[in-house]
Amino acid sequence: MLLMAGMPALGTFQAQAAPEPQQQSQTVTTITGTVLDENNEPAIGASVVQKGVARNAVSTDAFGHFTLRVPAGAVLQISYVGYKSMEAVATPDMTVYLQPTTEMLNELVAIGYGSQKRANLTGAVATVDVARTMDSRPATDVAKALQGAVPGLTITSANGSIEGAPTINIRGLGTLSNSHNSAPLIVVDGVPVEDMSFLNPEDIEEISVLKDAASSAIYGSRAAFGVILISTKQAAVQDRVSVSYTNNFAWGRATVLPEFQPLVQNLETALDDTRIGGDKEVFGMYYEDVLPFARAWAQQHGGKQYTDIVELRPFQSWSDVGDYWVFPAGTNRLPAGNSAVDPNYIMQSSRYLSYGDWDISRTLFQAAPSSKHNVSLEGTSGRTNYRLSFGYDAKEGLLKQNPDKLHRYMVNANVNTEIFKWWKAGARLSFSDREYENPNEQRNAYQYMWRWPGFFENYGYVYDENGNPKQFRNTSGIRSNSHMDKTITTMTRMQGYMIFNPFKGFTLQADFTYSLRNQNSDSAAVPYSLYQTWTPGSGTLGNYEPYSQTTSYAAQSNYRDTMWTANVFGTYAHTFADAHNLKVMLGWTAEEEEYRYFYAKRNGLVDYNLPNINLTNGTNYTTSGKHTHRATTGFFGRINYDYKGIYLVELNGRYDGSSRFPAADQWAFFPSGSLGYRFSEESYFAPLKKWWSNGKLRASYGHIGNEAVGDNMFLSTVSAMADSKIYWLNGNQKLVMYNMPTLVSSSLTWERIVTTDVGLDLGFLDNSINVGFDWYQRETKDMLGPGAKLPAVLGASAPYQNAGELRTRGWELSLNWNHSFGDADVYATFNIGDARTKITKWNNGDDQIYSYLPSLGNYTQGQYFGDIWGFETDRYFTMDDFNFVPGADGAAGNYVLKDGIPDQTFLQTDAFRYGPGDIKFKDLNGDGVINDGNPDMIMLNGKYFVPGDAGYEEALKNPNHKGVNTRTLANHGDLKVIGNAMPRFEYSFRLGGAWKGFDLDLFFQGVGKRDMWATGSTIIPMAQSALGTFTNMSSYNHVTYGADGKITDYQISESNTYPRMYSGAGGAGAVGSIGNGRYNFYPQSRYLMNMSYLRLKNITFGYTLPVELTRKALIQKARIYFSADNVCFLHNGAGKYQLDPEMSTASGSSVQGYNDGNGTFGRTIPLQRTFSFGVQVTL
Amino acid sequence: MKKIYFIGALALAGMSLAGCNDFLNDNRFPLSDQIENPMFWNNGMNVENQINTFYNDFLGYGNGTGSGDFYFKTLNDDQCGRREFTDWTFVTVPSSSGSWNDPYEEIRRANIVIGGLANSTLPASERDNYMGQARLYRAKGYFDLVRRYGDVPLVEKALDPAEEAALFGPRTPRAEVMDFILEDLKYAASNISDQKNANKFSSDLANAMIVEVGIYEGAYAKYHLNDAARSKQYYGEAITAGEAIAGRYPICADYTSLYKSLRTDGGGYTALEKNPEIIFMKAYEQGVFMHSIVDYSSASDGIAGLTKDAFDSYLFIDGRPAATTTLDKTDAGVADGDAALSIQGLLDVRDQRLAMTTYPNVFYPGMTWTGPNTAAMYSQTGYGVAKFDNWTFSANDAQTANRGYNCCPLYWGARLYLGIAEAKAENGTLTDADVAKYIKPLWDRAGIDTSNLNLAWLANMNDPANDMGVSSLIWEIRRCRRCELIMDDNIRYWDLVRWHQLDKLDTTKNPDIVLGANIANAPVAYDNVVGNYINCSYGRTRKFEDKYYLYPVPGDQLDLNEKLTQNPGWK
Repeated sequence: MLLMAGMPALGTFQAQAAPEPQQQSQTVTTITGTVLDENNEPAIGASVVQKGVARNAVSTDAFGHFTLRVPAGAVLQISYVGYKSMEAVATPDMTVYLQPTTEMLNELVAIGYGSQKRANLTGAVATVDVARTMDSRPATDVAKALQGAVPGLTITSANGSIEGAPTINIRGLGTLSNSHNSAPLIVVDGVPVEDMSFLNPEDIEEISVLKDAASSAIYGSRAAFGVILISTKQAAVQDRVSVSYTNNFAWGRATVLPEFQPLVQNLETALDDTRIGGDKEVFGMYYEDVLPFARAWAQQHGGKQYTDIVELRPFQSWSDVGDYWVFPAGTNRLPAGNSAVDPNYIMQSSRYLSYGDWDISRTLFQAAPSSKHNVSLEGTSGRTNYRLSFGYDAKEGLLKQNPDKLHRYMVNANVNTEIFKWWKAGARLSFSDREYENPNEQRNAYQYMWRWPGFFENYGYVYDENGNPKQFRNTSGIRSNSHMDKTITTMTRMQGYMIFNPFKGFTLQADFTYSLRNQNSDSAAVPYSLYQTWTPGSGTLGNYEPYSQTTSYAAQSNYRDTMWTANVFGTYAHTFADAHNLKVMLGWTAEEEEYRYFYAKRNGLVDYNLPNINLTNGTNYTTSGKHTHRATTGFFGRINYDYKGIYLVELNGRYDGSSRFPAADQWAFFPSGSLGYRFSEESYFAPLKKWWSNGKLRASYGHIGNEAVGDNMFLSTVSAMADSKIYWLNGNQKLVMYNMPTLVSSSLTWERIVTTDVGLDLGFLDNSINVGFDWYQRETKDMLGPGAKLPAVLGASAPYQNAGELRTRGWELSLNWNHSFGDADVYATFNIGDARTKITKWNNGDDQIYSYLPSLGNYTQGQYFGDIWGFETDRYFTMDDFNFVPGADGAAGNYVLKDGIPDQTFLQTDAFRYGPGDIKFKDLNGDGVINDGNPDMIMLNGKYFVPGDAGYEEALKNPNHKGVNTRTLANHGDLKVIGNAMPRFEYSFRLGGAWKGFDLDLFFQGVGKRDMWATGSTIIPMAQSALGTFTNMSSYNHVTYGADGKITDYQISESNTYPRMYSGAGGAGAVGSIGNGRYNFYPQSRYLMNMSYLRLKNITFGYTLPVELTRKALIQKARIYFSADNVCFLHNGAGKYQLDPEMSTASGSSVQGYNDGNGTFGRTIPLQRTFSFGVQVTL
Repeated sequence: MKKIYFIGALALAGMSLAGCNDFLNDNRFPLSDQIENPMFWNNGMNVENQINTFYNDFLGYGNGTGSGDFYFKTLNDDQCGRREFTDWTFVTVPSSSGSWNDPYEEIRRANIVIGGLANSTLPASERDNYMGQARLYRAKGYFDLVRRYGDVPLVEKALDPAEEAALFGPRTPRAEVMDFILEDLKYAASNISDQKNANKFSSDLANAMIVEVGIYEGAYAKYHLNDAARSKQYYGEAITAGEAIAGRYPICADYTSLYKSLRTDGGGYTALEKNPEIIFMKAYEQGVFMHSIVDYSSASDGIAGLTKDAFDSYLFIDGRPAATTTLDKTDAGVADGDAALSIQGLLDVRDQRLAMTTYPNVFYPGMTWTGPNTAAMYSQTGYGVAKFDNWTFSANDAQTANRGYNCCPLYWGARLYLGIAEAKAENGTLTDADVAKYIKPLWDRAGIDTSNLNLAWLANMNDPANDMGVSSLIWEIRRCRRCELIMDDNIRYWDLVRWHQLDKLDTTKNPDIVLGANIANAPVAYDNVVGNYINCSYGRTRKFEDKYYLYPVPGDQLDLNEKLTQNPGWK
């Protein structure tokens, strides 16, 4: 009989005593015993049989106990589904530890609309070891816990936000359309859901990952990029009510935080940037003025920084410099000799300098606590089984002041009943409530925390005229005064299903699911005042004056997302002549989703203590709304056939319709199929079986459609023009204008994903060693992309069409090993996968080259997705590379490159000129110039010529010649692909074991290769002027120039980490469209970030109390454990970048940090390293 | 019994399937996005809001921090600067160009409205009114294209990418396109419902634009094509259209009020829209929508000032040119106190429009001058630009980008009168009455003695400076046009083009166009001079070639469409 997805086999146990006449010749005693599994959990329903006396058998009860009368010295045979059968001599109060069978081939694996024996799988389906990835460790986020769980599944978190959801991809990027959205379909209990965040990990029974077309095609239109199939725990027949409780308490700290150089070094480094005109200053605090105070401060504090918010003290004398110095009225620069300092000046609407130094990580960060509790209840009443669970968890962010907080409440109920033998029905209900609170800072804490060294924003307080302590305008001061915004998201999901078995071999299932996601968000800004060091404009000194956050508003938003899904499908299975197994499934599915959104904001709070939109009276208000819907439906069918389990065939077909396309292009048919050959079952293989227990070859091929190509791609829509683009008045207000109706392609249709997969599964030594390997190719055809360029007389750019193509090729390998040494079980697993995605077709005029992410939407045909273009760094320029040319008439001279050294003039922008100590790039094309292509290159009849080439002159004269743009594939000068930003060789391994109640599990996860070009201030010194520098930036080239332009002193060495200081290098230079960075920091090999890492993701150590002990307290199982996440990692860039290599996003930038002129890459919420402990008790 | 349930379930499933198609199509359309479809065009507000976008195309003084068509367009003989020294718009064939692409985008916008209105259920009068506005705007797009490129592909409806014949079609002869423009404008003139409206498209504006198109094509036919009949026809169109509306736009009393007035009364002027001369204007409002012309034309880092050539083009107040005037015709200012060179005396005897266009002091690198509401500034030619600065603006408003809020005239009486006068003079139909009607008010306003002014006076002026090879009458009308409309709306450049006088922009033949003020008497020496005149060339030259009459067709368009041909002289 076919078992439905999410309907695991009900236990086949029945506690049947077998009173059997015993032979009198032997002493018969009653013995009791306990059967435990590898996790020391009771094995319920294990069969215990006296060897040789089949009728003397019992099953274990809910505590794993059994009682049996046997003759002395009898041998018991204990067997249990999924475990190795074992024999033991019967002794009183015996405990039997079962070893899981490595013969997992008969295990049922959830697949689309059904399940399949692992042995008979022909597609690429991986299962997650739920027990090890979730049950025994304190996971609260299912998606994050899946990182590294199966090969080919990529989970990335942009930052360590406690609220953020990670990005999930199966086998890499699948499409460039719709903002790269190629997320897999997540199916929970047979029905798609939008995200997994509402799931309670404790409720999860089983997770399968369907990777190739043949496996996922049955889910149709939304499953183009794989499926994650999740089944929740079901109610099963129980002989008692079972209650279990688990909890966990954790504390987290940032894995990596940047570390500023001490203030003195920070100022010195900035002052070493001698080439840019003007003084170094932040809002009028001149570094050279601050420096003597900072030196004295450092000396007086013994080189130690403040680690807390402290009361600031004014300058007293040079031997007691306090924390700030106030200028005499009317002055704003330090007088010569630093002498005329009057200690009596107080900070009173005067300009001042501050020079206290703070350790940011200790001043602002805390150990973030979190906890979770879960209770579940299972039982049977008559023919009805039920399972209820309640979960709660709470998390806190890492910042000390007003940390953000997340609370979740989750309820799950599953009930099923048997109406008749042939008719079962059930219902599942789940509800989750997620409440997130975060201070409304109106600026990004991380953006500013890592912007200037601590002295500028002053993490201190002074007393105001009323004697109240008053903080400064900084992350701490702002957060503690800000309103806590709150977002509440609830998810309710109701499902009812019926299963009919009208006759043998046939099952019909129908289900209907309604889900409702609702979000309410309240935010408000309340006025407050702080002291500040800021003044408008530079060159003016900081005033000691109140900083008033005067904005006050209340805003409210709400969305409601409802979806219903219906499935009806029937399966017929039959075995003919004991050899031909046939299974046919046919079904229909439909889904409709509706989304409504409303937002309103109004300024002018009436009462700051009641920040409610109804209590505002401002004239400035915003409202907006959105209402969308979509629908899909499809018919599907599957035929499975196998001959004696040796030759396996599966065919799938799905006919899908989607509302996202024009009526004429709405429906499409997508076929797929797979074959398998279990050669180990052939008779000729028998001699090898002793050590080679399993062998299967698989191959699959299939098409799936992707409908998620974005909204309104075939509908010409009209939108209002943004106010900033309206240049005409209607009275004293702007006129209302509409944008031109969008030009869309009239024939837009499905993207077609074609996947080929070849796999091999092997098992050795009674399947204690398993090996799985897959090679695959996934082509995305008819991918939505820009149409071919059209003449401008059209008046609009060519609309997106099904004009692009993408190809991903990759492989996956998994190994696992299980072994028992007496009482000890050990296991090891290893997974690795790799994929590269090539853009095989994309209209981009003349093949302009673009790096990863400089502007989403621009790609180059023939390139791998994620490629980063840049220069190859040669070395630092030395004195020997230049000749000094004295200036005329007393003017300063300059250094001119010697003949034969490639000219880098093209890269010079603004006032920057390459000189000794700067970066020298490699002249890859040997033309003596470093550039992004030859501006004089021409093309004639497909041949390219540059001046100096044979035939150039003739080609130039030919009227058919054409110019060739620079920065194109044909003409890219010294640029080359220096790296790729996509993670490659993602791997994980797990080592663990159990021994007499102790269990230990170590999980490692890593990325073998990944690069990133980012202009963050933690990577590029002073990417923007006046940015603080970090401890990794202390080693750089120094060059000192005299007034005549001649170098008077220098220290240039290849061993220095950085070239000469020159601030502002984070902006766009002469090759801006490739990626930001200029001066010494054009995208280049030397400062390309190596983001590969190996990380001890989790270590869990547990101890299960002996059952003999707990049984007395009626406890089935009690385990205590200790667990740590993100314990440590190996990272090639460690120390070099001061960033967690898993981090990918910058704060304050919409683009992922790549093209980020503000140097913000890395200035974001850090990932957490957590330590936790908890108990798990089952009654 | 089993079977009943079974069949029941199947029937249920079957029923659901039946509704599939509707179910998908009912969900196809977004509920909160506006879709362009026939219903869209039945709503007058939609049409109006779509048409409103056309106004964005009139740059005037500029938008925000951007540059505009007044003052900022310096490819002419009136202005010279350091940064702003302008070579020909194109000296090489560009790989792509907004000069070609942008008008087609605007034309598409107009064609979409025209196509949408064709089947609209709006009342005929309302529909025709909108249709007129869209066609007026389409005419503007094509006029921009023809002036730049000559022959251009003519697209009469919003194309679909599939319409390859039209997309990849050849260039339409310029005459055909000009006729098409005229037809659109005539339609607009007789269908737009507003006759007068300073801030919106009106039928009078359509007529004013016919005057522009008429004198352009009239001159082009005459001086480039030698086609007397076509010239006469188009000048005739200009005269008819111009005279139909001229009476409604009398010349106002104060020349400066045209450039310095605000949207509402204040700042020393009545609101620009109340100015009787205004046909069409671009309004600015403090704090809502502003420009930067005041900031740029009173900048502390070198204004693109008036040239010697422009300065010399003004008549003296006795109505005579330098050659014949009896007034003091020196062009050297006098030292005036501390580090200042006054030209007040020079301005007093010249056409008063000059005094309203520049400052009474000369200032240049090394000798700055502080204006009524500016910090120390200097002009690259010595002659600053005072024309667009309302001196009631605070120094902060005057010297900060995107803080100016005086309004910009786009079509107004003087511009109209000069078009009519030129058309009549070219067609030989200008009478004494016409001179009294169209020229005299301008001379009067400029403080020029008009006691002798009549047709004969102009025809016999015979200024030896006339280097355009035209009659004295035509020369004087062109002079009046240049002085009246100096630095306005890029008019001078297109005048030189249509008159076939673009060689006047050759700096080697006409060195005066890169020279500035006579600083012989200046208290602060300046070594960058030619003789006594400030040299603004900075070593740069602009050489004329015939090919510059037309822009080169951008390379990408030629690559995409092999039927397109390049303009003569461009490679």
